Amino acid sequence: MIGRVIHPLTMAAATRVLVMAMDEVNGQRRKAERVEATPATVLVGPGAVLDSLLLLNFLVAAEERLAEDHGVHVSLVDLLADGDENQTPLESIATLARHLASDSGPN
Amino acid sequence: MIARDPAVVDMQQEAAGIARTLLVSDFNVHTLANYLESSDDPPAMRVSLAPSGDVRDALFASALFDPVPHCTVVWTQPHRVIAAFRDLVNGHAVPRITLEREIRGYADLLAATAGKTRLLLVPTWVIPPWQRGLGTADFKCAQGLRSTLAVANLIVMNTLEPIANGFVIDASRWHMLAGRHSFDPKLWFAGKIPFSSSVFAEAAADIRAAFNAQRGGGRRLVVVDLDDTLWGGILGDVGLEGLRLGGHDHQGEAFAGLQQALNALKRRGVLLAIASKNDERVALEAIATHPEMVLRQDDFAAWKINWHDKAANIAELANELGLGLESVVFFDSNPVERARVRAALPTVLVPELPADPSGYERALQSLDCFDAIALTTEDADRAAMYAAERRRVAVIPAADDFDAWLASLQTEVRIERLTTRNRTRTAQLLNKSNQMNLTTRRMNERELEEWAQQPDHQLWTFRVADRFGDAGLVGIASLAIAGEHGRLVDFVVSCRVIGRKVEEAILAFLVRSACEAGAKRLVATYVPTERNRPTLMFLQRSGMTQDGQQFSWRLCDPYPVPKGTTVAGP
Repeated sequence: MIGRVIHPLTMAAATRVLVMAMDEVNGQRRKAERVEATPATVLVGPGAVLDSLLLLNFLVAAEERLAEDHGVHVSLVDLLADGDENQTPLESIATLARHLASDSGPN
Repeated sequence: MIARDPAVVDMQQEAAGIARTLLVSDFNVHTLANYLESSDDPPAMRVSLAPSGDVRDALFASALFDPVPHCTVVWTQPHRVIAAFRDLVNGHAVPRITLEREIRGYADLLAATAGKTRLLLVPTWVIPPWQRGLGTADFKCAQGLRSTLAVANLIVMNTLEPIANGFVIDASRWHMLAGRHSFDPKLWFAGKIPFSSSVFAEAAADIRAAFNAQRGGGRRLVVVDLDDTLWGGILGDVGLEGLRLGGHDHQGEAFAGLQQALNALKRRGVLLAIASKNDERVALEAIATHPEMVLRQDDFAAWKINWHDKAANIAELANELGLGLESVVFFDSNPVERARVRAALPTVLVPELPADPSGYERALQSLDCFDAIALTTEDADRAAMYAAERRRVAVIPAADDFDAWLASLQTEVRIERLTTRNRTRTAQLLNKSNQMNLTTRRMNERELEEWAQQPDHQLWTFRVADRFGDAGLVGIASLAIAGEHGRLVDFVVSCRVIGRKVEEAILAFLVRSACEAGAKRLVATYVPTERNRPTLMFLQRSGMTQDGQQFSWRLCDPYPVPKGTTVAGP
């Protein structure tokens, strides 16, 4: 199943992982272009802060952190294939964190 | 007024400006481009990417190399660029001779590419760890992936070995540093990116280091503390016998390991110096007599062992050794001293050190600021040359005056043309020297050779020796003859011999050479930089006629060779 989380994960922990992944991707941008990651940071659609390559790198970095820090094995890159920008959990860091947390069961 | 050589202007602009970098690859290298362009450290790198497709086509495409890139990186995957290797991966039996022929053809193409760029970097081929090939027999059989890959990398290395500006760089290091996820199948399938971002981050760091090394930007002096850095313990508290150094003690071994690493750097031409808050006599005695010391007094080019501010001591040491602070690394276990030096001398590199001394050796060895593109005899002998300089300076008080002291040195300046024997050192000196450097133009070996072969160009190198020792190749001068004018293009003298009238001896030779070439006037145009004010000061006291930044000498008047100096050759 796409984006299926196997182990429980809190919303706060998921947000922290995503912010750290964003920091990692920031290393690939000039200082002036770096974004301060917050739950409101937009990932896809109008106002998105990442191009397609950086978004891919961000999702892979998040996957690795989820696996290493929380034992959570999830394929976030698969979410890119969903297509519908209005429905996707990739809308923002907050929606993606919510997706990760809700898929892991009640917090 | 003589117009400045456009090549000189170009070099100057390049030295201060943007580094054009071309990436040629058979996979998606946008992440590498991002890392190269995102660094805030100079030089700013502007990256262009060869169109995706066949790498060979890209290497043949002349438009990609116009204007000439400052740096070209050709990074490929073996199974994509070498068809025979792909067959091997797919389990076909491929005769080794077929494979080697294809690799040689590709390596020859790389060698030809070096002629179209200032610097060519070729990362080694690697394969993912899960690709086991023949397993136990992989290094034994001709069909083994790893044995084949080792041979393939060696062929490329051997082909580029005689190419002065072509370098194979180690990609396996990047994978080891990036960890077990360095190969990322998901990135490959989703974006044709075979490696994790960490691999590209490490690659970008190495590419920058290579670029800086070619431009002569490497650090040249390590200033170390003594207590709890070179040895364990505070000498003033525990005495010589109480120091932890070597022996059957893991901490003592760690300090000895750091000294071994420093010694290895010294053998590569990096100078060592001491800045320590200690009693000088006691500290020097410990260095001379502790049985486990790896480094002894003669291994250090200079020292400041006193109770003064370390930042001030480091500045004095650099000045004493004729180096700029941007050439200095300060290595001290004390975080307070590190913070002080960082604040007071921001251009000095002060690496962070772990609390555990067993990490010191690693901290030193992982620095990329000592990267060099060549190792010359002068590098290996540098510490000995500075020791000779200490002995030389020590006799000054015995001489009645400065000229008498100079004459007592019995300086001999030997002149040579540019040859394959001295080309590497000449390019190194040209790219490293800042203080006595008329135009600060930077050229690689090939460019230097091509310039010197032009019909109206002449280039000489100068070796200097005296009764205290041989300083090696420490000077370069070149002339471009244009009618009645002999234009001085390069006038470079190592700081090691500045102030010993070597500059005057070289100028005397240049005046004679320009005259013999039919010129009537020698003209030197001073191109100011942040560091080459000593050149201006020399020109102003040389007796040449000054007109703004231009200095000239009428060639009917011979320029006097300094008393006591012998000039020989070419």
